[in-house]
Amino acid sequence: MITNKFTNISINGIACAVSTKWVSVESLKDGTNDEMLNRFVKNTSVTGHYECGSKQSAADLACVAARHILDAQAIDRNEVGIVVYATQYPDYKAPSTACVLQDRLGLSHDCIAFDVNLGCSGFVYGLNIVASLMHSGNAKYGLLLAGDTPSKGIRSDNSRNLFGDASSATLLAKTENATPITIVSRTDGSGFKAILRPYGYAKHPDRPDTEGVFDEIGVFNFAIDQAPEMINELLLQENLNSDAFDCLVLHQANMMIMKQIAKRTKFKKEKMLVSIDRFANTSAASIPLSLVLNYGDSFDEKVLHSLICGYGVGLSWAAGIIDVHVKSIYPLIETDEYFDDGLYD
Amino acid sequence: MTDKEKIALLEDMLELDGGSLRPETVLADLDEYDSMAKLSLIVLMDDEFGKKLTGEQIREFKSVQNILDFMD
Repeated sequence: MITNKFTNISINGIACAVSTKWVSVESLKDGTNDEMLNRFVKNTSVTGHYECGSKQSAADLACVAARHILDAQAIDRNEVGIVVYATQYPDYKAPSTACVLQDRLGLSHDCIAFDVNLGCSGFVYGLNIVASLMHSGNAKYGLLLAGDTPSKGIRSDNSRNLFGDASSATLLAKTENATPITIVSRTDGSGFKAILRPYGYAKHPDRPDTEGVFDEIGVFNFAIDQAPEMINELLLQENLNSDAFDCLVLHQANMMIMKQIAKRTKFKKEKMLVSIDRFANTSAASIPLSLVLNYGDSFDEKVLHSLICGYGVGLSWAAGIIDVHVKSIYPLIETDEYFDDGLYD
Repeated sequence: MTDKEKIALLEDMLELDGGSLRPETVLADLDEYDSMAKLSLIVLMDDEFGKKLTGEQIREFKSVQNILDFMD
């Protein structure tokens, strides 16, 4: 297990944005009867999800969320030296969407900007990357943007019901004597076919990027075995147990997986944050979105000692121990804003 | 665990009335045995019998009896 530890980086802001269009599971029946729909809702806890319009992308949502934090904290744009955008739905094949976001956010040229092609583990990996770049560099602030628009790649109603569009922005700051951030990471590329969008890129350029492959049972077994194993190893390594934490923030894959992970890591059910009910599986955004949904409107003067874990496409998984002050978690933003890049469809 | 008790576990998992399932029941004939039910079956096998269930093994289950045999 690869471990990264940071004692000079703090998480100073988390914001999330979704579109204004919420779609209920009932509206996407796809030939299922009421009984099947009820069972779907009972097993997954998903009642609906947000979907971007055709002109709006995850980068647009991430841009709105990032701007919100920078404005709320009156951050000098010249002091933000890193933008990492974790997504499976970049705006373009080239360039990295993060480069465009550097300009859209009004940041200076003294800025590292690139995309990270990871999904459900993207938030935790992204924290590790931004914190590492800050630890070894001179940037005062770094932005991790993490978001996806699975609605743009999914065709069937049943699959559409499982996934939702959302993006997050997280502001990291160089802070002396910050409470430690610990992140552990793993990869198993032998499972790359479990979640796969193979077409329309360099390996299979002649086939259109239509519906991908999703081995539901393989991914389920991977998640309920590997995520708890990693969390338990992390707890053992840090000499902690679940009682030490205020919350368990898991990637919101499906409720059955999340309950199994909580059970196998001995976390009390009430400590597990949930956003899947209203947002479905929002990929890289699901961990910050769960914090926003549960604490974004709170006026608590409290620091959340949190255990986070993302797992999925790759196969890639990572867990972390982070502290987040409730006051640095902003209320959910709904927006129709999109970037007109001047290019024709 | 007797076969009767095992069947009761499956009926409970699939939210079926007691007596709905018989060993010879063909799984493909059950609307309730959908992809979510298969995930529930993985959890049930692990929780109740300490057994791992792969996608390949699930695909080989054709009848309730096949599942009962796996539970042993």
